[in-house]
Amino acid sequence: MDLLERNIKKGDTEEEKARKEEERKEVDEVGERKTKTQDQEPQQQGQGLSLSLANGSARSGMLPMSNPSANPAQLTIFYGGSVCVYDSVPPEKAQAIMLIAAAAAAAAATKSSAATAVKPPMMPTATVAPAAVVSPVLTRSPSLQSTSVATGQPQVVADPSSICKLQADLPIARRHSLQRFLEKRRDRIVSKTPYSPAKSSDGMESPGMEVTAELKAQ
Amino acid sequence: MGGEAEGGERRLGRVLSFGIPDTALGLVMGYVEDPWDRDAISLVCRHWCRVDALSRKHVTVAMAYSTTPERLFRRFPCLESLKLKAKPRAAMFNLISEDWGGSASPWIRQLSATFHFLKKLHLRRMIVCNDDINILVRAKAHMLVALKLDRCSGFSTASIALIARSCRKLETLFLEESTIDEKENDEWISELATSNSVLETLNFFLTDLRASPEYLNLLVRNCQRLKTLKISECFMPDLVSLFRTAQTVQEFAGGSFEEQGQSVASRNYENYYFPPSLHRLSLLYMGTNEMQILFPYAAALKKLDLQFTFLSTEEHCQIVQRCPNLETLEVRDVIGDRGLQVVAQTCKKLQRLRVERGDDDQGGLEDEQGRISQVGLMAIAQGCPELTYWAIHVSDITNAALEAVGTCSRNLNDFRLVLLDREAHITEMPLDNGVRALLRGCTKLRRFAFYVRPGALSDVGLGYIGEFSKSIRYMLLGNVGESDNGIIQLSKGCPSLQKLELRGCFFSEHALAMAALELKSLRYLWVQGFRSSPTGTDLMAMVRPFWNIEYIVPDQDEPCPEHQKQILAYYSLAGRRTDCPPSVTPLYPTF
Repeated sequence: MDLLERNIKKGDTEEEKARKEEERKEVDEVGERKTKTQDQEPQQQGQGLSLSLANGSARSGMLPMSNPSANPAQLTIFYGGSVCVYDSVPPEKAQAIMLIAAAAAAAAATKSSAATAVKPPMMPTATVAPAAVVSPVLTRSPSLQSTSVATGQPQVVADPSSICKLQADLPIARRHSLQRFLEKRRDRIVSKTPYSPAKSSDGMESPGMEVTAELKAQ
Repeated sequence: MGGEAEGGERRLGRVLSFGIPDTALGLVMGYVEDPWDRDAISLVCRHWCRVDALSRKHVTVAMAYSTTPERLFRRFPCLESLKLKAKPRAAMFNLISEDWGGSASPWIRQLSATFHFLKKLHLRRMIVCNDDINILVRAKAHMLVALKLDRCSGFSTASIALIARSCRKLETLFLEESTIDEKENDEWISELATSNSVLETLNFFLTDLRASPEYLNLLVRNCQRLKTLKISECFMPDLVSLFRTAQTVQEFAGGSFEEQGQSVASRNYENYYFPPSLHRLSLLYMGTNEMQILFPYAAALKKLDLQFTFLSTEEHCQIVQRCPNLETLEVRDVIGDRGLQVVAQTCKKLQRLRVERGDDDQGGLEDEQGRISQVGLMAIAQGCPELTYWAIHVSDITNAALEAVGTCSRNLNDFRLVLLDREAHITEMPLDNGVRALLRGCTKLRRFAFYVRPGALSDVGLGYIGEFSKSIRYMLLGNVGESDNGIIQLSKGCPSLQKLELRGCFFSEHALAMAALELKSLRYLWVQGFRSSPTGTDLMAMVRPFWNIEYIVPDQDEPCPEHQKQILAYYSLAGRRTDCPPSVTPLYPTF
């Protein structure tokens, strides 16, 4: 099948997963399951995608689940009857994996002729273990419509305080050219007057006096 | 296509051209230079599209990955000038990793093999390696009139030397803010001086390149047509003879008042000579003792850049009050409200004003008066009605100030406001009404940035932006909105919005996707700071043909708040990118 071959050839997602596998080798505590995962991964990849492309009703689901008592940042994948567990997955990587899977599903959805006919993948529960910065834990989400059907309603308003916290983690960025200049300025002031605190002086300075000139020079 | 269909098209074309032959049509179109107008012309019919394409002299490809070099050549084979941009704008703020992409190689290979009329090339935020330049020079050296490697990286001074000695017709060599290897080697300046006599613009401002005064003197002596000279750091007293020689120079930037390891306080700059033609200046590290250098020339100055100086608020006032003819002023916010009031009183011809963000250090490195508030904003709005470009960082603001901008600054086509984090309390929030008044008043506005803090612009305010930004093509919004409703409301308007950058707003993936689909003219979207969906599928709601979606994951080795994940989406005829680094995942197309 054309699509199958193309999907097997598809570099990025596979590479990404293979890479993840190597990374997790040391970290993963689930010994036996790991071996099974490694064997099945590449094949599952091709199969899974072709299944979902061929007929949208495949149980191709990825559910990152969190078990609060287990490791934080643990990613669990349920796929075609087997379970894969990954520890210490950074939230962004988990998000990337989910987006890739979603993209595959979306590609399937846009390719199938009837936009509404694609059966939704089974994703009853989806949670990501909360990590330091991103993604508050969500509870049950309703079973999803086909991704190509756009629903008009906006989502539930997120908790304002959580947004504020997120915003605090994204400070206003500085332009590179100015950043370099300001660093240079700080160095210059520190090097000229290493023992005095860098305070702006209000007094008048005379041209000959190096020290006050440097302090005033901003 | 059958012969009949072709004949029919030709007939249609001729009818639409009123029987005017193609040559004449091309000549008429040649008088139309505005790219938007040309775009409209090319949409009339296939025939006009072809005539336009053959007569188009310049094209800007705002996103290099939106097309392929081959496609561009197929459409515009007679192109004389090309500008390419690749990395997102955020790269200038250290938010994009160096390996994101933007290699110029495929483009340069195509340009070198074809594009037989190309004379001018401008690459912005791209990676250009020495091999690329080799190939380009071998193919185009005899024709190249202008080469701009603008905020690029990947090449060394050896390549600049190659360009210098091979491209004898070069009138413009622009390397501003590029990262260049082998910076200690300044032989290229000497090569340029000896090989070229037609140079009009040389710009390596804000690069680390070494530039010895001897070579610069040589250059200025041999290149009698030099109008713009923007260099890196070079001790000003060493440039005295340069300025005596350079009688045609109109614009100068760079220089430096720093002597290696010695005190500079004893120098006297009262009688420093600048040629009478010079009226655009940007001097690095100018301090209290040195600002006198400007006084004899201040009245003639049309452009002044004080962003990289060590001056206080008071000193800014002293300088600016002597410059009644300024058309462009660039400063840091150390200029303060007081300085802006002086600007408003003095610089009545001001067209471009940039007030950049200074140091935040609470230890007082910056002048304590160096803060901009609604006072300075209103003063400028009322005092400088000719402003077309205005970018400003403020520490405080009110609706009235924004209303004043809307009332007075009617010529603005580009307005960018950033509300800094310095003050805990802002005089007036939200700014919904002020923004509405501003957008309703500034009807010529094409580019708009509003980067504030939570609470400064509500969902209603975002709705106003949607409603009243008829002509705006580019928008940057930071920390705006309260909920997803905001971006949804905005997306119902903004009919001309082509490029949208969102930072820190934390809308959900779903809302972003809906907004992207709704915005009629959107062709480029960049987002940093968004709420991930539980399964990652929500973003995929915006999947559609020719809409490339990239997901950029931060560098895991150096976790840093500024390296949060990003979404980049853009229309592309090129299909999926084949050169993504590990940090970039192309979500769509999938193959």
